[in-house]
Amino acid sequence: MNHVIAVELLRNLKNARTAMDLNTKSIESTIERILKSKETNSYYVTGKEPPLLELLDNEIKSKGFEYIFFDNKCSPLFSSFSDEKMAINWDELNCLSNAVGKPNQVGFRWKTINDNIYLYTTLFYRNFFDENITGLTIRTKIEKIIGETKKNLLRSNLKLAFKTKDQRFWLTNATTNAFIIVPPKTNIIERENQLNVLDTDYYYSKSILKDNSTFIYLLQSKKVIFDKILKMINYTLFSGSLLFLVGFALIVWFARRVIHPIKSLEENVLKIKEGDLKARSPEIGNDEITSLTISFNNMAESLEKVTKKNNESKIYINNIFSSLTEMLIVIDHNGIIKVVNKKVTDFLGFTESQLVGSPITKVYTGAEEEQDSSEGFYTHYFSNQKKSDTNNYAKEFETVFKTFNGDLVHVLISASLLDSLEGRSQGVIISAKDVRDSRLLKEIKEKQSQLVQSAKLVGLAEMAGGIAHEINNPLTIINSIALILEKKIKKNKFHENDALDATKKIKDVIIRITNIVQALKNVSRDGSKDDYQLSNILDVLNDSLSLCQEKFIKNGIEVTIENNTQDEVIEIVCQRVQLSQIFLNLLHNSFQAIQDNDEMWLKIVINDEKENIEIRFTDSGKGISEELRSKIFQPFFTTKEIGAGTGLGLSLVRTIIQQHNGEITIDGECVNTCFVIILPKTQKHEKKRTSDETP
Amino acid sequence: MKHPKDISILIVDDEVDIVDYIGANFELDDFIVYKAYSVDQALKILQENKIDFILSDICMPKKTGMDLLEEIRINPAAVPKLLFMTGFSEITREQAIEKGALDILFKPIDVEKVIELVLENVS
Repeated sequence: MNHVIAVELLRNLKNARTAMDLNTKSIESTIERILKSKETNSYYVTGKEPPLLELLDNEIKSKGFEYIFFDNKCSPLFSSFSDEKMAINWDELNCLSNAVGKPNQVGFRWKTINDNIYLYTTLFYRNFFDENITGLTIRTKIEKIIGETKKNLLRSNLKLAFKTKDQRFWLTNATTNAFIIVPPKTNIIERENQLNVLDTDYYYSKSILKDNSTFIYLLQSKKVIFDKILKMINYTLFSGSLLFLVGFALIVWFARRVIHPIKSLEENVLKIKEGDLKARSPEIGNDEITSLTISFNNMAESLEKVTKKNNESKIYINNIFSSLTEMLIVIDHNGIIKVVNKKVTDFLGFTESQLVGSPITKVYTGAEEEQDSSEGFYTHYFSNQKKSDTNNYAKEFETVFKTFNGDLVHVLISASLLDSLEGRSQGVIISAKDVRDSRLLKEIKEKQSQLVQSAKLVGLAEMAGGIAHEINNPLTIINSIALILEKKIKKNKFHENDALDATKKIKDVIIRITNIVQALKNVSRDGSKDDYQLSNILDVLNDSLSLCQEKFIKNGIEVTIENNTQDEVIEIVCQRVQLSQIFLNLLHNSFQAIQDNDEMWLKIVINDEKENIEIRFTDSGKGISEELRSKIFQPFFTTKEIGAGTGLGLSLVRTIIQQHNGEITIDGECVNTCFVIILPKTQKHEKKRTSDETP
Repeated sequence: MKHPKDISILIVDDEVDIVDYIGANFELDDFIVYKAYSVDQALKILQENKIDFILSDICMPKKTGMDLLEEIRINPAAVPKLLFMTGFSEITREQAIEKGALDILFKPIDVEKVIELVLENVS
């Protein structure tokens, strides 16, 4: 180290307030002065090196600088750096030396150490003694800028620039971090945090140094930022955070390229969700979005196929359901109806929406204990049932369904548990059959018919007295006449007139017997399957009456028939035997009701009511209480003593009249007991026959 | 055995033909025949005439054969034998005999047999 230079440098440094002042001019002038000065020699001669170095050292340090002197090989001679690691990389310095290491030139570098930015100012000079280029590097810590700069930006391609008070602009070289001086006439445009230097745009952060004339810029190239953002966008794309993209609206092409296809996808996903399975997105490009679109379109196509297949299956199953001849109802384990088929709605008169979601009790009346809750059906028949318990797994029984109109219809139910995949029951499948045309119903009908028949027989037995009289009296008469003729002949008292009288009487009583036998035949046989035929209602009434007339007469009951119609023959289309049954029943009922009364009479009045005829059966009874009126037509209801009647009478009467599309009511306003029968004169749907064709 | 000429018989039935033709039979056999078409008529005849034998229906309007039987038992002065004839009756043979009737004959009856019964029972 040359002391002279050191002294000169020291002087320079003393004047220098910042590293920026260490410019070539001052160095040049310093060297000049040293060469001309004799003082330096004195220093050199005296050999008082240490004080000079001490002075230099103190001077540099007092300005907050650190320094290194190095030789022409860039090897440090002596240094004030406290930490060698913080020193400049000498290889870099060597590069710098080769680049700008001309004598009397100053080079600048900057470097980050522990997140601090350090400025290295290197002065290159020709050694006075050996003419080698040597140098001095002074390091300045630029703390102020550090505080304002984020770490991540420090790691990036940050550039540092200076603008000295002489308006020269220093810019770091992109590759070496060495500073170059921007040519003085270069247009430097500084505007709103943006700086354009040498046709490059930068974002910058600016601060001023202690000398109040030097500005330090931290520069970040716009292009670098742009590339960086693109990198982030790509990263974001892959991480799937699409929303983040929206924030970068400035990247319009990106939006077109990515957001639009994604939008299209999103719209189509919604369409598919709403059932439009034909939605497809355009497959443009060759990136992830495109492959996503292709996948989406494939998925939509598969979905469409599967859905179509499902729909076909659904329609197929629905067709099976609706084509079933039996009613099908599915309930869940709470007894709520889940599914009904068309047969159910047709048969019961409810709409599907009226039933689905409603409790099964809406149609199923069942046993009383089942009506407490809608779960009744389920719990009554299927609670605690296991699949293995095959006997209880399915139930078949006859019951009654309630229609929309409140009518009760007999159905045959076959109910079985509906299993879920887990083996736990999900509910019950009920298949119900209208038993009006089933084998079971036929059996029931046969039994009912038998019952009706036996009821008729009971009725006949009750009338046996009258019938017996009707037959036995004529026979007694015939017997007596025969004996009389025999005796007269024996006693020679016989006259022709006697014979004529006898035969006339015999003919009369034979007609009596014939009538009663015919009536008996008409009334007693099962006429429920007879064809409807045109019959004189008066004849029908007389059939019935002849069977019990004797009985009425014997008991002092007066029976009258009053025909209020214009015709002597009142013909209606009917099942004659069935009607004579109902008249016999009514006659019999009246007889039993009034036989012990003081006043005993029965009046049958026939009125013409246009398309109908009205038959009023009025007897001397005191009427029927309102309470009983609704009950007396029910099967097995009776007010008679046990054994006196089966109770089928009036129920049977009503059934037969209803089969004739007629009705029977009780005239509540009549002071006596009055049954009113309305019968249509013709039957719309029944085969008509004339009364000539006797059954 | 009494001769039919000495035997008076009352025939009671609400059916006129029965009374008339059975009566005609008895008359041909020389019985003294009274005819009644109701219980009331029969009771009137009984009051006015000596009747040995009554042939009566059971079921008749108003008063019945059983009513007639009761009346005869109340009046002990003349106690005619009574024979019921019936087409159909809820009264059994035993009940009738217990009440004092001779028997119940069920229609159709053979008048010849009735005449025999009368002759047997009227001493």
